[in-house]
Amino acid sequence: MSEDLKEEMRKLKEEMAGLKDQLKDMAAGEGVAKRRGLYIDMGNSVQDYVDDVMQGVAEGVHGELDKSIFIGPGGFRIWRRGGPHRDEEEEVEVNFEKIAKAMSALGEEHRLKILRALMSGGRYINELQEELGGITTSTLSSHLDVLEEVGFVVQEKVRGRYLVTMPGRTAYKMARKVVRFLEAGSEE
Amino acid sequence: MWRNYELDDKVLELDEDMTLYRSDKVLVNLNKGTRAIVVKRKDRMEGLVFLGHGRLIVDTIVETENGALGKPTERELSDPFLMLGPVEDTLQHFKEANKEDLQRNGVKAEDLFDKAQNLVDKLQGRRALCSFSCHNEQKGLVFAFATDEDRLDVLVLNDSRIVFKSKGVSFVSIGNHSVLKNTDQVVLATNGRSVFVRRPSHHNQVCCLCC
Repeated sequence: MSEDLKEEMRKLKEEMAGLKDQLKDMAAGEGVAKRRGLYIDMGNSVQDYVDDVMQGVAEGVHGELDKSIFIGPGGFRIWRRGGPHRDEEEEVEVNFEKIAKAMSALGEEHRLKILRALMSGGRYINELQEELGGITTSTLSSHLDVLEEVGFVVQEKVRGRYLVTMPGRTAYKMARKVVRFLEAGSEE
Repeated sequence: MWRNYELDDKVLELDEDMTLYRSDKVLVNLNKGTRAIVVKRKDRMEGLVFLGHGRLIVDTIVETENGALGKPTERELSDPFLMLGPVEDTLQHFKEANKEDLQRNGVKAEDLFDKAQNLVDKLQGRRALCSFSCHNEQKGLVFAFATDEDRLDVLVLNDSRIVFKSKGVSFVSIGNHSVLKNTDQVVLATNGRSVFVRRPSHHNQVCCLCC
């Protein structure tokens, strides 16, 4: 692991410890009372419970980090330690049906525009309609359904906002990249 | 201590559909006809056990710079559940259930008390709730939902802070900090930075943006 990554990990661990402290404040109530005029004393047992939750999450992160992904401000980095080598990955059966479904979801101008709009943050349906212009609510809803079904978009059920997911963002970027390659090829 | 909690002797009934709790990420709805029994400690109202139907939604989604992760947790509330915290506002929507009305609907008050008592018994020894104690000024709420598998799902709400723990999903949201752990992944997002760990069985589905 490079020095940069070690430093990044150290910062993240610090932030996680900070989050844990805030949860303890929340459970203990006393700190909250001082800052916000609230008082809720849930006793040490809730604090223990919160500790349990955070401990579980921390174990999940630390236990599997070596063979997983790190997302820093600059994008993804992948460690393959413990995971399969590239050659082994090639042997994994390709699910053409799933790929075709995902690509099909991208194969419509409005849906690409929806993804682009959501790249800059969550949107309510009326905001999307305004941004896209000239599209009825029912058409927009059906496009959102398609994107949601393949997992490119997720809707918050309480507020109703639509958010682009990590695969959705990746798919949009990939589509743009492919087009750039094609355009560069046609110019040669 | 939890063993000092006791149930009131009245069964209450909800007049109309109501929203028990709503914030940006959490919604708890109750359907008309839901019954409730007040939980007391030293003659002070500390919470309610609800018996009826409703809906729980927690948007267990973490937004990161690289896209959202997770999906909403939605659940029909048909098993008894407990709410600890201020109950005065909620009680305004309830009226005392008439024994004859209950009987007409094929419901025995004793059965309701048994179910509520079972939930209370399940809480015995649960570290999260057994020493919960409220004060008059407090705004925080703790929900405990009984599940089919004899487990309890717990939701703690205080101001805009959320801790939700159910089978397969742990979610914490405090301001700009969020943590989500489910069966597929662990996500930690804090101040625009995030760590995402996908379970090894799914690593072949991972895409890399930078290569």
